[in-house]
Parts: sequence; structure tokens; C-alpha cells
Amino acid sequence: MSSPDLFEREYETIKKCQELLAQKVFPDKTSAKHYQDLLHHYKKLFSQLRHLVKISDIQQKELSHLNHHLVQLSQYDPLTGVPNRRYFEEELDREWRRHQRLSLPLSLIMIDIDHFKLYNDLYGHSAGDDCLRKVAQTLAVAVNRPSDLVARFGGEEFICVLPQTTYKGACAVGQRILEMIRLLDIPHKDSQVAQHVSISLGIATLPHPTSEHDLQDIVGAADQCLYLAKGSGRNRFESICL
Amino acid sequence: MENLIIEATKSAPSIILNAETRIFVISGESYPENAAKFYKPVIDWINNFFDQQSSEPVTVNITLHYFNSSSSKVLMDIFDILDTAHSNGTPVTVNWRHHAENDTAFECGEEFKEEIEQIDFNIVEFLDEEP
Repeated sequence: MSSPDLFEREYETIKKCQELLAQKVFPDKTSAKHYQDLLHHYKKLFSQLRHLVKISDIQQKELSHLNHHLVQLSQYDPLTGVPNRRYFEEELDREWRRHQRLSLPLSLIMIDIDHFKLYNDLYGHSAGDDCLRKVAQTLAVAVNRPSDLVARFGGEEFICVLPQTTYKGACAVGQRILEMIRLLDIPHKDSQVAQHVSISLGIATLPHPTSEHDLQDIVGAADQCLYLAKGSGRNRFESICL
Repeated sequence: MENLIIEATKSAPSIILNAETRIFVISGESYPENAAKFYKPVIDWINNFFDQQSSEPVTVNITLHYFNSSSSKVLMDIFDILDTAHSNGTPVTVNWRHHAENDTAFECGEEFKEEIEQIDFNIVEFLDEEP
């Protein structure tokens, strides 16, 4: 069985016209000629239509492709391939409202690569970019639930939102991230913390968000914990359950 | 016969129809608000041009990076006129020019080419940013 044709009705019309001509239903040659000419014209316009539809399809496919590309550009960090801060903030805002409405535990992790400036100074910016890529990809793997999101927050800072995650769960993720970065074992001779690239983390959990809370409460708390982790020797996490 | 020159705008192409050199050029982007209205003087001019009795060859160079469906329809109608002129003894060559990286313009050129019966329709690729 042949597949249905988009222009079945048009083909049917042409077929009927041709049948009428073949049956010689026209009383004289002049009318038959007129009819033949009209049919010829119809076929020409129909052919135009088919190609116009095809051209339109080609262009719409291209536009849809471009649109998809622009969405990617606006949501992802080109260097590391993880979502960018803009996308993260949109997602966080959405999650925040959902968690607030349902009073679900929400956790945030702020991540900073230790002594990244020294790394860049020693190994160069290209190696620095490689390091950012590897760390970003490792974070993306470490945070493995579909709803979890890792984004590049800026410079050598990353942020991670863990929806419906308790304080205990968030600390377990933090510990796993630390471990995985350690296992990456990217040499960092000038690091004053370890022989390899390490990170510091600030973890904050809001177990029961209510309308009394503000999103900045948890963002500020995670930031504060990151600051503490860096102040107390780096290559570690500090955490708070609000 | 006077040449027809229309300057390009953001949504309409540059049009240069030269009666002396018998070279027609359409280039830019084409999504005018009313394609039938925009192209009417072009179609009128081309019809008048072929009414003059001359069978010297005509070359049409088209470089359109982007065009809307109404413009496609007008282009089909222009190709029809050119096809008829060609059948009547004036050789017509159309060069559909597209940037090497513009696959869409290339594919659209192929569709136009399929629709043409008589005239020589070449799909020409260019590399740099020449107009």
C-alpha cells in the first residue's frame, strides 16, 4: 500500500479532468481545447504549490533549528557545557515557589575551586579552562537525580540546587562531590591545600519553606557556609540547616 | 527603456534591472509586508522588457539569504515569465547564488530549479561575503 499523499485531492482532480477529456464529453473541439488549456494551467499552478509548500517546510525547519540553537545559547555556559547562571536563576525561582507552596525541603550547594587563580597563573588559561570543564562535568555527574541542577555561577564558582532534598541528603551529596573531585586528581602544585585541584562547598537546607521565608535566606546561607569552608582550610564543606 | 533600481531595506532586497546589459540582480533578504505590492513594479518592468523585440540573452542573478513564502510565490511567477520568454526565443540564465554554509538557500534553489521548464537555472555557491 502506498503512503498517503499530501496532495491526494489535487491529483484526483487532475485524474477526473483527464478522464473527461478521454471520454470526449465536450461537444466541439474548441471547448475541449479550452478545457485542455485550463487543465494545463491547473497542473502548472499545482506544481508551484507543491514546491512552495516544500520551500516553506525547508525554511521552517531551519528556523526551528535556529530557535533551538538560540535557546541553547541563552541557557548554557559555552565553556563548561553546564547551564548558565541565567537559566539557573529561572529554575531556582520555579523550584523555590513550588517548594514554598508544598513546604518541601530544599537544599543549595555553592561550590568554589580552591586557589584557582594560582592554578591559572601556573598552568595557563587554556589549562584553566580545561580544569573548569572537568570540574563542571564531574559535578554534573555527581549530582545525579534528574531534578538536580548544576550551573556555572561565574568564574570558578558553581551552584547546585537539590529539590526535595533533606539536610542529610544534601550533606551526602556534598561529601560525594568532594570525593569525586579528589578522584579527578588534577595536579595543582601551587595549591596550599592539596596536591590536586580541590573545592570548597557551602551547603544550606531549608527543611520547611513557608511564605515567611525569602529565597535569599537559603542563597545567603549557602554563600555564608562557603565563606566559612574557605576560611577554615578549604577542601571541605560547611553546612547549615535553617 | 529605463532601468529599474530599488534600494534594499531591512525586509526587502535590492533590485537592479538593467535593460542595456540585460542583467537583472535581486539580492538581500525578502520578507516585505506585502510581497505582491513590492514586486508589482518588478513584474511589470520584466513584462515590458520582454515585450521589446530583442532576443539577446538575459542573465538573472539572485542572492537571497532569507525570504518568506509570499516572496517564494512571486519568484515562481517571475520564473514563469522568464520561462515563457525563453520559449519565445530569448535565452535566459538564472544564477541562484547561495553562501556555501547556507544549506537552506541551496535546498530552496533546488526546489525552484525543479519547477523551471526552459531556462538555464544554475545553483552557484560562493564563499566570502561578496554580495
